[in-house]
Amino acid sequence: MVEVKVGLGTCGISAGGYTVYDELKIEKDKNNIDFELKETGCMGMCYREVLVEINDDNGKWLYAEVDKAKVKKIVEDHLISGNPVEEWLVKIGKSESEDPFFEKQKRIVLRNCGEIDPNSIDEYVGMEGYSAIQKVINDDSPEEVIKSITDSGLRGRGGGGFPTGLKWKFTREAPGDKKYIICNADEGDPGAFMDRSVLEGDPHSVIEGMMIAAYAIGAEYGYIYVRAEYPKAIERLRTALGQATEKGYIGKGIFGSKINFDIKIKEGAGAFVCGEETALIASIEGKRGIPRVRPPFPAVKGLWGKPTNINNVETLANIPWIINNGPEAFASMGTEKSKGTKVFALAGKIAKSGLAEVPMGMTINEVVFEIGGGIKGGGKFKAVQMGGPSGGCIPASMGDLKIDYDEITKTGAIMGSGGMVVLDETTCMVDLAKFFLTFTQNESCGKCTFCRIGTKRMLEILEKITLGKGEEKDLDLLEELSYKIKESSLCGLGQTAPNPVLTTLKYYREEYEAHIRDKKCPAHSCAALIEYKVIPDKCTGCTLCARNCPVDAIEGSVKEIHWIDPEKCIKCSLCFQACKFDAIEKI
Amino acid sequence: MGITIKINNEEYDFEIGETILEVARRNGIYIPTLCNLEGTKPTGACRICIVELGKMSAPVASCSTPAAPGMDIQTESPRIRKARKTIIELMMISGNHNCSAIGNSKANLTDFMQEVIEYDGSGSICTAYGECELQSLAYKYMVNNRTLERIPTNYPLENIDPLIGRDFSRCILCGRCVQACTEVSVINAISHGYRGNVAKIVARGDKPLPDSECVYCGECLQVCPVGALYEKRSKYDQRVWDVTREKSTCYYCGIGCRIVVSTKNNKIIKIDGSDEGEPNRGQLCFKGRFGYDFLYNDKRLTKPMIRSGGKLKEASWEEAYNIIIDKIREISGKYGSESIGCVVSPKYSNEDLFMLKKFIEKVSGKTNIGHSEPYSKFKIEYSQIGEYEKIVLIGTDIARDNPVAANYIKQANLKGSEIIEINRKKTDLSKYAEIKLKDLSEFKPDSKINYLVIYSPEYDISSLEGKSNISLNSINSENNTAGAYMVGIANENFEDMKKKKMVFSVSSIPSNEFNTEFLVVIDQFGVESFENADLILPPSVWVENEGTYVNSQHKIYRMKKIVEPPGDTKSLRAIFGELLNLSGSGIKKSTPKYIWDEMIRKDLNLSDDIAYSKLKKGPVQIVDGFFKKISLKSSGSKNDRFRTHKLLCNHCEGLSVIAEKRINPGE
Amino acid sequence: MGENLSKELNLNIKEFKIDLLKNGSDPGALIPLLQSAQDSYGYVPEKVINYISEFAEIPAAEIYGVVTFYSQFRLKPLGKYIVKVCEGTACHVNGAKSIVDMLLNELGIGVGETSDDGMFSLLSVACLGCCSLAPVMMVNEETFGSLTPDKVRKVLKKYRQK
Repeated sequence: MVEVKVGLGTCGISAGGYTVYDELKIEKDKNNIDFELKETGCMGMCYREVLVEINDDNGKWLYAEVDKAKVKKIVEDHLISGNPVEEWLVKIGKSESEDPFFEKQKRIVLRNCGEIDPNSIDEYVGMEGYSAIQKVINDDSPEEVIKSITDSGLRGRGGGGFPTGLKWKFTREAPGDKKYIICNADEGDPGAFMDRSVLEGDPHSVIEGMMIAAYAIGAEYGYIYVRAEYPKAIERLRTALGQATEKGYIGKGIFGSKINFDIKIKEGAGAFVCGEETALIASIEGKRGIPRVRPPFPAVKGLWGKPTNINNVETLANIPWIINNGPEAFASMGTEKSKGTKVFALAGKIAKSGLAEVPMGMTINEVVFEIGGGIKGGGKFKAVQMGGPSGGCIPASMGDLKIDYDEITKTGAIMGSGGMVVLDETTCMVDLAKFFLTFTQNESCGKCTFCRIGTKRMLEILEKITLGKGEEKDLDLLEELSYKIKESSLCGLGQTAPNPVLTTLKYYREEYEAHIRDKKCPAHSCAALIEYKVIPDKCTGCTLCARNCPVDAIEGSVKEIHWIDPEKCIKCSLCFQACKFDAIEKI
Repeated sequence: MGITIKINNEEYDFEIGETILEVARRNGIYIPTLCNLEGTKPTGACRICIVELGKMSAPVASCSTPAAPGMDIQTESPRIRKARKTIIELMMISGNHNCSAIGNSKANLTDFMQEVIEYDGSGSICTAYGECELQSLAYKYMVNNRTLERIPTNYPLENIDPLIGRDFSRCILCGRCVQACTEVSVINAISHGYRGNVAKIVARGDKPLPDSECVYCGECLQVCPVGALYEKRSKYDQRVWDVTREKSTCYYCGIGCRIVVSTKNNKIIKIDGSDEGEPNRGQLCFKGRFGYDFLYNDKRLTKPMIRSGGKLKEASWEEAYNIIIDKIREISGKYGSESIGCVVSPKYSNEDLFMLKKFIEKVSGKTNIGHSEPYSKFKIEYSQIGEYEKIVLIGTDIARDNPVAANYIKQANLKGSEIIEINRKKTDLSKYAEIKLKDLSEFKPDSKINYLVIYSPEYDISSLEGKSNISLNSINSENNTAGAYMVGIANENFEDMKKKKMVFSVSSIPSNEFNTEFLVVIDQFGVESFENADLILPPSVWVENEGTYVNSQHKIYRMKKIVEPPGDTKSLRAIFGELLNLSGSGIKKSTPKYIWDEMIRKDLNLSDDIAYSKLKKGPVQIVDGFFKKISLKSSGSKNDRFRTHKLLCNHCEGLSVIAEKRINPGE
Repeated sequence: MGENLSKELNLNIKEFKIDLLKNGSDPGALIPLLQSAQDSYGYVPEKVINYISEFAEIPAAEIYGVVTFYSQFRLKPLGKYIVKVCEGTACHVNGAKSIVDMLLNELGIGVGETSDDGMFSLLSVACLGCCSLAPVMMVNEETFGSLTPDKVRKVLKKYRQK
């Protein structure tokens, strides 16, 4: 039967996915057509949501940017008359040529995302789902499972890159009657949405990964700590857990063994620092999400004082694949020390923003240009920001850098959880550093002195610089504070907080200096350091800018060249955005 | 060969589990700390205790990093010193730390200095000046807060509480107060609140302390390393250079907590728990900490008062003594000498009580003297409470009666000891009790488990006696009850004494409870509660006198005179020494040493081991069995217990409101 | 206190109890309970904190500490329309600042505040998860993407007229 799938991840939903879905249903009923209408998760091409895939005898047809109005034509032309609406297609039936966005990807974690209905356990089972857990229970000892994962070379996808097998081993070997496995789904980096997409698109793969981990470490209880800001992910996880329980996949004596396993969902309550393991544990225990000193490590003394293993969503989603396909298959991908694939959330000034899973070892340029289609609006590629508030900027000049934990760390950035924000020439690096530090400041738990007061101080210095009030000595001060905060903060949040500043200082020091010495923002981004001017040759005197100005700083009557009073201008940029003739410039 | 670590190039042994800081401190190596609070879990918050583990690795917090074999630690390397400097500087700029403004003439003050000096309207420097741990670190590491600009503070001064001032602008969020409140006194009135740079220590609903569960133990005050928490009454009095500090013992219950008394111009301005060890290990309760200014109450009597023309009027000691002697003669003549009696609160020293007893025996011919306190003994060190898996509380509201002992119980509970409470009423510890029973008969101890029983001394616990696995303990409500028993004053004839024709009342019992012809009251406060008294004598008390006391553990300790007594007040031993002489006894001396060595010890056959001069070194345990020589009766009513506490606290400014709520009125 | 208040407060005390029992005395269910309170009321009322404190024997100060730690919890009711403006990285580099400025200007309130007439609350969020539509904001459950300051004005106008 013909399948019609609508991409209903958060990305699809916010672009109007449910409207399209409902419209398809109306059309289906109205025309009495026999096709199966299905929900699916994020297909990855977030930049062209809403996506609708039609799966018929002639292959897969992917429609992009579908809205209510387009549904009728697609139904009539394609589904009723069999004439696909070519101008809206990104993927054409049986044709070999794929959109380059997909062509270069290698989908392991996202193997089912956008393919199956996340609300259906049967569809997951149909894709080899829950076979890996059965396999390990029947054939492998926990030690063998740990060995497989160790051999695969899988490293923590949450950002730290700690070898997963080793982590499991520590928890397995820690003495304790009760152990816990926690799935860290508190994806908090602004600009990152990999974990959300996996949970929304393929929740069972994460559950199965947790089950295998639980078996390996000897845990009977699991928690999924997922941020409350992801209601759809929570909803689908709950559905998935309900189905798995109903089928007896989780609960007492799973798959006919003597093994018990239970999973609970804990909703985060809005604290970035809870991505840190000890803070996350405190949060599950109902306390303030304050990191605590280590040792003892969670593997020895974690949740409720028991040995606890914490893995990230993406890490866990890899597990069933590794078991099913063998550690060698996984290890065959990637670089020497970074195996498998990595999912990236491409965002920022990139043409094709969305979700892409690439084999480790691919270069940044390949990701940005071949998958991401280069810079939006044809601007010039300036840098990528990786690792969010804990990471840093890698300049375009280093675009040939391979995606590899250690290579990226060498630049001062980190692999991070997979947020890749692409920047062009209009992004001010000082402002970007300030942006991340503002974020860290807001999210600092306030426990240790360096993070609580140190980052605040750094932020103030950055604010001063972007206002054109910076002094030469500020850069040294920034650097000095950065190193001390990095060295001596209590937890990972503080220890990595200066990274955005340090990397931008390292690669774009001259931009900082321009702010300080010349009182200029080279990217024309810092409001205090720019001026808006009307280009007389282009101005048509349409008065639109004057009408948009909130402070009446623009003078000029109809059909006359306008003039911006620099004394009055508050640099809100409304005129710049309003002008239809590009007659306003920033200098 | 033990396992070792190197600190500053020297090798030291350590035991598994010890932190770097512990090893260093044990060996006298200085590592600065701010957030570290002994006896609680290290939090690693302030980072000042970081040490270097080698050039290549990041510094670690020594308070929370366990020592590991082969570690090579530097505690004061240039890199560490620089980092510490930054920490101190960050703290200094983020608050109104106006200590840097001292010593500058007004013209030289920076805006920063000007602002911090003026912000609370007092124009004065920080209350902690000279004792502030942050200030001394700033001095040690030579921090001048010049490189960074000051960050405005987020929260205004909380000034509405009568006892504890909270100045958030000086808080460095070390969290010691929270640990004191949650891990030491286990009241849980405060917590960390908010986050990031707006983090704040909060009470319920972020309201001021009076609206919270705070019981004013003041542990938070004592542990605050800076000027964020301070005793309001002495805010600008506690300059370290003006203050004299002496160790002494608390005036209230039988635990006998060791205290540090700060005085200025012969006046107590502050009391802290002394951290010298047993019994209280630095802890105090609200009475012990704040209940001192009854000494300075307006209503305190400084001259004898004699009833004349229906009213009490000031008189001289001579006049008072003459009347007493006359009245004794008159009443003995009328009713016989045994119609003279005495009731006493065991709040006076052994020497005081002994002279009083001597006098009463002299004039009445019998030991016509009694108090209302049951006999108690606390057999273990309080810090050993935590060694028991099961703690049984019988009939006692210990969190109110003897709060510091309750601290130990709650601390034990946090570490896993089970509390069994036997009480018909709900007490402050009920919420910690794993098992609650109404009556002792419901309690079925397991003979294989060791129980620590703490009972209210009125309670009949005879059914538990003689069991080797049950340790029976109780604590007195008055500080020298055991001393009273020791010198031969018991509680058996207390009620009878109240009915005598002529009574010397050295207690807080209101005068209308007596039915006498002539009532002599000896108490600091007069007039209101003693309106029927015929004569009131004003005694000097507690730290105004030297003397020996016996606490509920039956340890004898010697107390120093710390402040001069006011006006014409006199110690009990002086009063009754003089009265004895006036009645022809020929007392040679009434110094504490003389009374203890030449009178009490001889009378009681006490050995040279507890000679007065030897007690100076520290408390001495009275051997078990000693009290058997004295007739003891462990019955008594709770009516009169804690009555003195309440009276004293009600004469303390600020404390009366909480005292009303926190001291058992007697059932 | 007790069952009546529990009913009045519409809290799922039963589940909370089960959680408490399962985890010994560890109050692991505190956050879910606060979340359910906020679902019912739109904020966490003080009486709920006091009730949980009494019921679960968690110090009220500690609960207050938890409530103020997590950005999800509010101690005051929000407006009829909750405007969540995204300040995630993608939105930031795509001009979120001008969107925020416009909102501040139009609503006349600061971030985290509610207008006096109780119509609008303005919240800033780290990422709404639709970076491809940057800059984005949400008004209650509706998402508005590829915003310009002018578009913001129009959206607000629409809600004002509702």
